[in-house]
Amino acid sequence: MFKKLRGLFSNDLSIDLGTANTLIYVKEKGIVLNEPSVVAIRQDRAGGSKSVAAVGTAAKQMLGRTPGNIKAIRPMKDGVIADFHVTEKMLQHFIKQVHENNYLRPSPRVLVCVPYGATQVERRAIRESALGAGARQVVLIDEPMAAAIGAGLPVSEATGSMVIDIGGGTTEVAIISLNGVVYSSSVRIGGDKFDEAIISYVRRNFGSLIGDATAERIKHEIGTAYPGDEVREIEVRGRNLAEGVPRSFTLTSNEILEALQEPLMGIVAAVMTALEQSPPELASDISERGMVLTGGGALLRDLDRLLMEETGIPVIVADDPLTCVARGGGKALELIDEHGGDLFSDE
Amino acid sequence: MTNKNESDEDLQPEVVEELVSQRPTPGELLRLGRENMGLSVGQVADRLRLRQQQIQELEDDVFTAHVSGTYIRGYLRSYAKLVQVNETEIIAAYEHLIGDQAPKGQMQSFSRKTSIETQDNRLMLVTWIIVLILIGSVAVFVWQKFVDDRDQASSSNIESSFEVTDSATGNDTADIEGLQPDNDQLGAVDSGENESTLEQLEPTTVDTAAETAASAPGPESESEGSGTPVAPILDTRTLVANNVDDSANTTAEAADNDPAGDTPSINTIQEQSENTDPASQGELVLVFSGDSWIRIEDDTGEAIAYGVKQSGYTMPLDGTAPYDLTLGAPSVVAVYFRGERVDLSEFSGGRIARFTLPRS
Repeated sequence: MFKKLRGLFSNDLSIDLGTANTLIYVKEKGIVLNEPSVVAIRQDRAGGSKSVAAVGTAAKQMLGRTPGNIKAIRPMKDGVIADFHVTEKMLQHFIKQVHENNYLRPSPRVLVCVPYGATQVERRAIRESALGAGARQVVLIDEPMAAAIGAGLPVSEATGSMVIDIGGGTTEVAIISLNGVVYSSSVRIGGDKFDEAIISYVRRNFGSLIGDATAERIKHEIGTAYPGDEVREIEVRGRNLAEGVPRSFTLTSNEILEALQEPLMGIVAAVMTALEQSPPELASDISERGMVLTGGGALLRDLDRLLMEETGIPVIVADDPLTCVARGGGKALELIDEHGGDLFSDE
Repeated sequence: MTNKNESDEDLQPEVVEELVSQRPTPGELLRLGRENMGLSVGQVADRLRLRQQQIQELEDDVFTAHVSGTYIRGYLRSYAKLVQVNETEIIAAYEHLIGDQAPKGQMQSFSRKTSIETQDNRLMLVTWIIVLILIGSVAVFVWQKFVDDRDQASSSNIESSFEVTDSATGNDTADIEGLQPDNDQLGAVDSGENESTLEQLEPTTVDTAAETAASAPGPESESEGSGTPVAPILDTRTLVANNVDDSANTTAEAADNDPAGDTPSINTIQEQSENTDPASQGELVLVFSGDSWIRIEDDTGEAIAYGVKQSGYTMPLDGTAPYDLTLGAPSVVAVYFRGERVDLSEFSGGRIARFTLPRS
């Protein structure tokens, strides 16, 4: 009763609860929050009570730089919840942040995007977490479906649409037709795996240790998925494992390409498998129109080119791929009364 | 100066149109970029994994309606990247070219939920209507009950006021004039207006009621219907008629003049009123002022009275004493035994009364 009353003063939210970033889309307002999925927890003495020190960007800046009494945690791993209570606190913080009303505790209707490969337990954990954060109703939608809607693909038409959503923790490959997922697979390869691959490559080839933040910066600046004419360079600093002191060294885009080969091949293999499993009529549609890349991983330079060369099918990058899932979820949320359970995932 | 401004304003739309027409289309920009790179349409098609016809259509700014805008923008972006043209510029040109004609894919639903919900909504509407009707009926019932209770209370007030009047006036001081037939009053009681007149008369004072009682059987009450509704009022006023002997004689004469003879005469009323004394009606008399369940057995063990008796009922009983009485609601029953009223005050508080008469 009170939740319904509070719901009158709350906005419907679509949440892309990603491994790397959490995005919130508000009905008729668009993307209102885009923060890293990081929470800093403070515990002043052993066995004492824990409190949230920072959430989002502020907490991310603390990653790898915290004193003993603060822990910067990434509560999501591989697209699913790794720490239930911290995820709940983080969601609670974000939901409150997007509501301007300070007097009533918000009780919104929430749509959360979950990886297609998430198990029943993982889906239940996400639902419970959102309910615990104050949501009055939680609806789950598969990430590839949300990504396809957000990218503007004709998901309700009787034509095959293929979407590849490369997130922080997982890559979702799906073929969609008539509002349903015809085929989908989820591989636990994403932006995090790219970072890990770069860290591993640098340690192996340069004998230096770099942090997650540095690896991410390298990926953003010179990361590439296909050898190009132009070779870019970046100078980074890491702790030399042999000498034990920080040393600077230069990395090239070709070296990063080499470092990323393993995770990239994992994604290509998932795409090839999807095409092999696709019904012939839908495969024909996909071959004619191409496949669409969404998610933060789609921003990796020449990833579309790599997939195009490997599959022989046109590959396009969606407009604003980073927010496709959240926008798609928001669009689905707007259609929730019209479409009912058509687009949404069963728990 | 003014003329110049006006001419500027006149020219503005043309200038705008000219500027718009001068703005290169995305197809032109892409073709230019391709030619600068020295690539053929075939080479571009091979690189983008599209058909040559599709590349040609992009260059000719022919955008197939059934292809989603997402795909078209993606092709344009890929093409622009290939021929090293600014992607943003191409997309802006495309958006400008198509304007509001951009294909907006309307999502269609295959869910049964919406139809089920529609049906549920209809059922809910019907349910609400039924609930409202029920609530309305209950409200009307309660209101009618309230009105009936109020009427009953007012009529009992009139009865009690009659009794008060009886004790105050006494037999000898009865106002004979009050019982004289009055043409004006009779006119008011005349047919066609009887019901409303009765309603008006019920809450009136004792004098008016007495006058009406006396005038009702007058010669002017022509219609048959006029006598019938008056009779209950006369019944309620029998105490007055009974006690005022002189006036009764006077009104009896008036009653003899009633040609139809339908209206009960005062003599009849007198006879009735004599019989209304419960004490004189039998050995054991029960007068009910409310509904009550009873069971009465006489000495032979036979149940001489049994069941629920209605309010206002006077029940004379003759049997062999002693009587075993069981009264469900003793507070609404007056028991007269051999002319004397039996005291039932010991059974107050809603208790069932079980006792024997005569009391040992």
